[in-house]
Amino acid sequence: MIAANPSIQLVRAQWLNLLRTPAYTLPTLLFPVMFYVFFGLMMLRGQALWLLCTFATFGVMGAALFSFGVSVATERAQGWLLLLRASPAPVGAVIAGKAFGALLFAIIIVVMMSALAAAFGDVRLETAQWFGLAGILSLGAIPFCLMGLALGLWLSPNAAPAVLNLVYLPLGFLSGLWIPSTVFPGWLQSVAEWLPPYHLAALALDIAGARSADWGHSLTVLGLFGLVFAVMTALGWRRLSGVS
Amino acid sequence: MKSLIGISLVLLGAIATLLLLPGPLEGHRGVTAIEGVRVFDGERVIEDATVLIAEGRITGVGADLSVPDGAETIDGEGRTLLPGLIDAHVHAYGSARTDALRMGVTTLLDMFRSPADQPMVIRQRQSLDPTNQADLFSAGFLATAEGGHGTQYGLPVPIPESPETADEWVAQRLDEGSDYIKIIIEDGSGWGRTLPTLDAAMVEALVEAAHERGVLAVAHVSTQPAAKMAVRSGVDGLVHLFADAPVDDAFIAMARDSGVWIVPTTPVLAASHGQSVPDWLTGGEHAETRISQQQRTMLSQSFPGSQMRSARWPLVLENVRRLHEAGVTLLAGSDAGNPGTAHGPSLHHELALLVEAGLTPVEALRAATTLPARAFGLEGRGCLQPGCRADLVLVDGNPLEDIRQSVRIDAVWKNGARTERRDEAGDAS
Ligand SMILES: [Zn+2]
Repeated sequence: MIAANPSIQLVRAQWLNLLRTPAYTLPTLLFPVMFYVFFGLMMLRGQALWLLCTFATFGVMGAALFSFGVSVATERAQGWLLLLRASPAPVGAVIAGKAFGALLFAIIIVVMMSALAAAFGDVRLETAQWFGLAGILSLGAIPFCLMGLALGLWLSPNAAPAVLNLVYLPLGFLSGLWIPSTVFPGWLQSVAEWLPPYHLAALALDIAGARSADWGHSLTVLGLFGLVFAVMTALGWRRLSGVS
Repeated sequence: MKSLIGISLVLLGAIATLLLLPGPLEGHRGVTAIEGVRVFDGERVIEDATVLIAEGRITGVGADLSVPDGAETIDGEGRTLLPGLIDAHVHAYGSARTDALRMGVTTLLDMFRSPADQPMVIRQRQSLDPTNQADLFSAGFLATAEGGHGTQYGLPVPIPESPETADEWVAQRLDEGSDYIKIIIEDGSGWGRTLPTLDAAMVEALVEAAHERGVLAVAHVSTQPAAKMAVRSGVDGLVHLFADAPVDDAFIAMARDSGVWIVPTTPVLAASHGQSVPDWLTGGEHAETRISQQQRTMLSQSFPGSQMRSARWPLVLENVRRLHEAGVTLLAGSDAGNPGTAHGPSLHHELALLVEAGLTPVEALRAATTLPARAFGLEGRGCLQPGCRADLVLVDGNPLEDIRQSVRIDAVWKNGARTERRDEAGDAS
C-alpha cells in the first residue's frame, strides 16, 4: 500500500497535467483520429477494418512517444526529474505515472477510432475482438513508451520534438501503417518486417481477423525492441546526476 | 479524489463504448418462405414454386411444399427468384464487395488484387453468417513479364523469372492464398502498343505447375494469336474475349477440343470500344436504391482512344455469337474495377450483351450461375436447390423473357439473411 502511494500521486498529477494542457492533449488524441477519418473512412473506402488496425497503431505509438519523449526532456531541463530522483519517489512511480497517461491516451484513441469505424466504415466485430483490439494496442504502447522515455532522457528539450517527429512519421509510413506494406515494392516490404510498429499492427490485424500473425515472432520483436530502450532508459537515468 | 473519479469515468466510458459497438450482422435466422414465385434454379425454370431457407441454406424448393409455422413468408407473385449471381472477372478493391451484393452479385471471382487480406477473405466465404459483402475468390498477384500488362497499377507484382522457377512462383501464390493462377499474355498489339509479355515456354510451365498443384490456370488475352497460344499451353479458361479479329475455325476447333471456357467481359470491351452504358442500367428505381454516385461515375468513364475503336465493336458480339453457337462454354464476367464498369450493375450489362449476341436469357443466366460454379468448383453456389447457400435475388419481373429486367431487384439474400439497400444502410454517397 505504502509503495503504491507515490504511484497514485503521480498518476493523479499526470491526469491533472493532461487536463491543464489541452493544447497538448487534444491534438495528440484527435490528430490520429482525424487522420483515420480522412484516409480510412473517406479516401480509401472499403478498407476501414484494415486501416482501423494500422491507424490505431499509429495513434497509440504517437501518444506513447510524445507523452514520454517531449515531456521527459522538458522536465529534465526544468530539473524536477532530478528532484524526483533525490526524493523518495521510486523511479518506477515516475514511469508508472507517465505510462498511465500514455495508456489512457491509447485507450481513448482506439475506442474513438473503433466507434467511427463501426458507425461510418461498416466494421463489425465480436465484442471480444473490440476489447482485444483495445487491449493489445494499449499494452503494445509499452515498448513505445520506453522508446519515448529513453529518447527523452538522452535528447535536449529543444531537439526532442523534432527528433521524435523525424522518427515517428517515417516509422509509421515504413511500417505500412498508412498504406498497407503489401503494396510496397519487395525491398521496402522487408524493411517493414524489421520495424516494431509493423508487428504491433500485425497483432491488431490478427485479432480483427484481417490477417493472421505469427504471435511468437511479433511479440519477440516488440519485446526485444522494448528491452533495448529499457536499457537505454536505465543508462540515461544514471547519466542524469552527472550531466544535468 | 476528483481526479480518480475523472479517470474512472473515462475508463468506464471506454468500456461502455466497446460493449456497445456492433457485432457481426444478424439477420432473420428462422425459416423464410418465398411463395408463388417463378424460380430459375441454375438450370431450368420452375413456375409457381415455394422456396424455403433456413440457417443460411436453401432447405426446400417445390410446387407444393408445406411452410412450417412461424416462418417469415414473402409473396413472390409476378417475381422471379434467381441464385445469387457470380461475376467471373472482377478486380475487387474498395467497396466492391458491398456494391456487388446490392445488385445481387453474391460471389466475385477476382483476377488480380493484393492477397494481403486473403486469409480473412477465405474465412468469410466459408462462413454462413449474415454479411453485407459478396464472397470473394481471387487469383492474387498475376503472372506477367517485367514491365508488362498488370505492372502499371502501382501494385508491385512478383515476376516469374524463368520456366525453371515457375513452380516456385506458383507455390508462393498458393501460400498467399490464391485460389487459381492468372497469367497475362498481352503484347499490346490489339491496342496499338508494344508490351513485354510472357512467352509460350513460360506460360506452359506456369500452367503445368498450377495443374500439378491442383488449381486452375487462367489467361488474360486480347488477340486471337495470344488466345491460341494460351489454349495450346493448356489453360483452363480465357478471362477475356479477343476483339482483334473474327474468331476463326482453327480457334473454334481448338477451343472445342480443349474444353477451354471464355469470359467475354463485354462491359469492359464496350468501354474500350466507344460504347456507353445503356440507360436502363443506370436509370430506374434500382439505380436510386442500389447504385452509388461513385459507381455511376465509374460507369460513365471510358478508356483513352475508346471512340477510335468503335468500328470494331460489332465484332465483339459477333465473336460471342460464333463461340456460343460452336458450343464453347461462356462465363459471364464484367472486369469491374475498370473504367466504364461498376461492381454489380456491369454483370447485368454483360448478361444483356450476351443475349444481344445470341444467347437466350436462360443461357445467359446459366453463364452467371451454374457454369462458373462448375468451372471453378464452387460448391453450393450458382444453384437454387436444397443444400445450396441461400444466396438469392428476387427480381420484380421476368428476366427469363427480358434479360434487362434482371436489374429490377426487390431483395437480395446473402447466407439466408436479407441485405440492405443503400438507403437502408444509411449510405448517402
Ligand atoms: Zn481484368
